[in-house]
Amino acid sequence: MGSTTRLTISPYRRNDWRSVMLISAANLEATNAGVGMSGSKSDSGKPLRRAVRTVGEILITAGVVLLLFVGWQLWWTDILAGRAQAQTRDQLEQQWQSDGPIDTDTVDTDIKTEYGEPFGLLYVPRLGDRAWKVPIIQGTEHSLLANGVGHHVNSALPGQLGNFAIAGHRTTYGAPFADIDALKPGDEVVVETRKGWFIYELDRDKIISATDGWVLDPVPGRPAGSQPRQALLTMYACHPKYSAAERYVWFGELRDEIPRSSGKPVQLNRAGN
Amino acid sequence: MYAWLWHRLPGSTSIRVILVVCAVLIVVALLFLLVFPWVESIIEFDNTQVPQAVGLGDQQ
Repeated sequence: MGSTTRLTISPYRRNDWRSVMLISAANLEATNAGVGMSGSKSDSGKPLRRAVRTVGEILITAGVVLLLFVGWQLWWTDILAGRAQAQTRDQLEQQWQSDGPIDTDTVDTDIKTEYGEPFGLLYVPRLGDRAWKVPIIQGTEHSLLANGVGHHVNSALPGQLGNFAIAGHRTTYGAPFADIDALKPGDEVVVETRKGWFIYELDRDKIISATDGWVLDPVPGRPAGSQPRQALLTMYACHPKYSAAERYVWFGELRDEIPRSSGKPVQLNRAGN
Repeated sequence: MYAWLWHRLPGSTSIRVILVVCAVLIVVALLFLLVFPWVESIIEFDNTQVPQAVGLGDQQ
């Protein structure tokens, strides 16, 4: 097939065309035909041309690998995280079930946590499916955030006085906080633990530098060591999207506690749930 | 490089095409399952964390 085409193209043009198209198998065939024409003698007699071609091929390969990596980050990690989160969620719900029913009228904030293990579920109604029933894992290590959102181990637990601080992905790995910038003051965030539900209300947002650890303080924005008088919430993700230069943070405070005995809070009533 | 590899492949053109497709799939699978997770563990493009106050010791 290549022979007629080949003769009509100048050697230089043929070479350009060859290196651009080298990735696909069909073009490997064309290259084969081209090499056959010039013969192995002339091929080995042009080491420079050969070297240039090899370098070109390596660069094209590197480009393709980089594109694959982007695809892996933005698409494949979502699939992995979807699976991991579903598994984590099931594990948590089974554990709650085997721990037995809770029938108190108040919500106990004293729950046991273990590093790397889930202890709660997060619902952010405005963010839709991505932030619905996301496992809350103890710890914020990169590898843990594939299973859900991470809780800073030294911050308060849900409902406790102080700051309940959680981190989630803005992109990749299910990206629960992909649309964190779409939230509005007054939006509700529901945290479910074995003991019940905690309804936090978002109050203000802020874009901070990646090193602004003060947002995790017991009372963010107050001098360190300030005694917390309220149960607060800090949740944050990377900002801007596809970057990790800054963080997008939402602050909120506890509005309501709903014990298991009262049944699922109205905030969680929606189609399919 | 690729021309050289192509010449080393046995069989007719169609068999070679099948071999190339298989090789590409294997390479992509290795990248997705082994290489990319490893690269990410070194670079952490979307490392979401904010460092906690000194002394509190949450792993970064």
